[in-house]
Amino acid sequence: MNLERLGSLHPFRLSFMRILMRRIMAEKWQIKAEMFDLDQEGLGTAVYTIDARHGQYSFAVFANYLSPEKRSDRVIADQWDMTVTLCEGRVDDARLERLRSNVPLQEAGRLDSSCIILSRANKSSRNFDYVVDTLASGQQPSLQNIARVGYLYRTTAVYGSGKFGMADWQKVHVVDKDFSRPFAAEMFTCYLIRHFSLEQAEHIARQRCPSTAVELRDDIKRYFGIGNATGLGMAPFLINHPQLVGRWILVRETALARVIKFAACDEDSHARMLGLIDRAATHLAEIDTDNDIQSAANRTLLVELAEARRWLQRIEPTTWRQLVSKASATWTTETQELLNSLLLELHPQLIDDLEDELCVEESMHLVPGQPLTEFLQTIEADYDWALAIDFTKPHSRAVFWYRSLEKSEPRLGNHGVDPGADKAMNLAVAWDVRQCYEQVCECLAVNERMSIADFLLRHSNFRSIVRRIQTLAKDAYGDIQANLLDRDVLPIHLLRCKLSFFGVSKFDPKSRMWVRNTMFQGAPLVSDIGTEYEDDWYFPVMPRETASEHD
Amino acid sequence: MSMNELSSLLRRSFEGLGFSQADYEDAAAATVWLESHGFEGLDTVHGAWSHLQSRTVENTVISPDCTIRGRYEIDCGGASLLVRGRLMVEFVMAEANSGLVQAECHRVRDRLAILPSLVVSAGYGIAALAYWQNGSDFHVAGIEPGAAYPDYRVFTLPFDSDPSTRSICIVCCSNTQMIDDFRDALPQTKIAINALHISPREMANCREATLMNGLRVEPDYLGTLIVSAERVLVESTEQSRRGAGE
Repeated sequence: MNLERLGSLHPFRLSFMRILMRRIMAEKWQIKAEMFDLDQEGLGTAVYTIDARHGQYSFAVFANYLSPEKRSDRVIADQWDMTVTLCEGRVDDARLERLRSNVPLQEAGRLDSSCIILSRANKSSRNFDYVVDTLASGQQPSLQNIARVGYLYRTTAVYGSGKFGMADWQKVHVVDKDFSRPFAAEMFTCYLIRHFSLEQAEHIARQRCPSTAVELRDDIKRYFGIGNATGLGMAPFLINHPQLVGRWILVRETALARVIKFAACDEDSHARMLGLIDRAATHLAEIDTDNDIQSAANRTLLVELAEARRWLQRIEPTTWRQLVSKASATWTTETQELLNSLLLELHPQLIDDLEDELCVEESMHLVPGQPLTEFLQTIEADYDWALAIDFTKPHSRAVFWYRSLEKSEPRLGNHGVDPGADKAMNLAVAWDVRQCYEQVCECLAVNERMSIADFLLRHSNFRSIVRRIQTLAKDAYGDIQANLLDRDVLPIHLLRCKLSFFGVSKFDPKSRMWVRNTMFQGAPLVSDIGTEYEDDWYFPVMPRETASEHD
Repeated sequence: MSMNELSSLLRRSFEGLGFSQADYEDAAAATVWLESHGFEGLDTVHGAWSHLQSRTVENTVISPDCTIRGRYEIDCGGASLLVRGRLMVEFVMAEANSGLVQAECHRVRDRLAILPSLVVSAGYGIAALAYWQNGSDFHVAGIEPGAAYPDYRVFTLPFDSDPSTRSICIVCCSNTQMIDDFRDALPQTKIAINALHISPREMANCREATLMNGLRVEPDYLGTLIVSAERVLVESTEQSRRGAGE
């Protein structure tokens, strides 16, 4: 798995948000406000009940006052505008009080195994007050403003998988079947944060000016997503879960292969592809980022999408393979992957069954009887990329990853500058491979009949990397091919990869280490559940203005 | 506490003791397995804590001595099987496809921690058996290829073991019948009284209850683990905050 390509992925039809929305709409989940106890400023408590196909759940929201100077995207913050939990079953008074005592504390609180997700979000300082003021005065907000910042709240962490006493993933997977796919509960929580943010803004506007306040127009509401800020904390996940990430990539590539192999580029799909390119181009043109690299990438994308469109019109290919080949030979990785994402929209009947293939039981298996000579060949064949790194060059081991005392936040340090190199996290796969390789060569020079078991009894510290190499060598996509110790490492590629599988859009990098983005922009509203659903909200574009909008 | 949370804490705690990645991964996995299946893994860690702190396990050089083909004598130098159990089983497994392999491991502690490693063996399609004597208690744990849980029995013998030996015998074979025959031929099982039997189903039930309700961890234990885990954290400074992208 090449890091740069992983960092070029775009959301697609099998991204987790898309899968979740299809499920919610198909199964007609019932989402109702059981309690909406907010004061004039929108502060207070709300509890939503969710009746899904397999179970009942509750979503508790605690909206508290947060002074502007305390508002921070950083994981090390300790207060937030909104804290939430998604839990099993219904919430009675006693349970609500327990949640109220813990959920607002986030990492410092304790939950139990009936809770699935813990999260928090902060208001977008630019947008929230503006939208409330506008609604209170009887107006709809400017679409241009929403295009710049397409959300009212931004999540800064979404915790699941048993953290802080919550339910283990294995439990959620087996018991809470509505969330049995990867990150489904996390995505659903973000969807409900979006829902609450819209209801809260309308509530405050009504309280402020009951005589003039209006509700948001539904098409404008849909254009509001939920913001997200993601930092280095996500990066170790990809290194520590190579089998899961490999499976996701396999699913995506399998979907693409099916489209290329089985789908014809007929008149209808050709026309739809042109339409999708137009929509994606409009979406990209509406992205507002002050990051120079992302801006340049978006500009390049726009130019190349226009070229792709012209090529499609001129050539009128009969197979999609022709387009993929053309893209591979002509355009940047970003454009190739964007076109791949669009292609996957054209033939849902070929790929939607792959939704069920996104989970994998992860375990690293040792093959203790493997001859060491054979293992050496495995390294040389499958980890040639790691062996090609010249670790004698100072830049190749210039940085280290560590966890800070502040909430164990992962950080990058520079050797010789920052303290903590002796406590570095074990994320340096390439370096571990190199060290293992050298030890293997040394042992084979003495005894070429050695097995892996013999080797590990003598050099037991290599057990972990040997298991990893032996396991991932059999996987279709193996390890992420990157030296995470390099001076110029771009962790943002790792973040972008995972976020694309989540299904986020509008990447807005704030540095090479963290990125803002938008989730669920364009997605159906809770009030849309039960109506006819066209799964067509990806690459959302600004709704058309109406004459009355700025009256 | 969830299993994942406990696993994460244990990994850091063992890392904080100076364990290598392989050691802290294996030790944490073994502890969580024991705890979640009712075998008091955290009590085991607590009892072994000063031993684990001394890091003797990491410094132990293991040199198997092969007297007869398929029979090994291994001096483990006092290692805890929380840390080295999987390594021992993986070593024995290496030759199990060509027949029955037996390793007598001497000078080990925390022998019950071999149970999760037997599950690893079963995952490879290898049947495994481990037995050891502690006082007058004779412990036998066996697992079939592909099984998720071992069968564990404790027998009472009319005589005590030599407390200085603290050994365990691990037997692996791809042929289940050969393992069964080997177990049935053990002289201890013929003279012992079956005192305890924990079946695979009971272990599965215990794990399911853990999954549903989480784990309860003694505050004292938790405190010890947290203090150790914090050793892997680096003090925060204004400069280090920039290392998170600020």
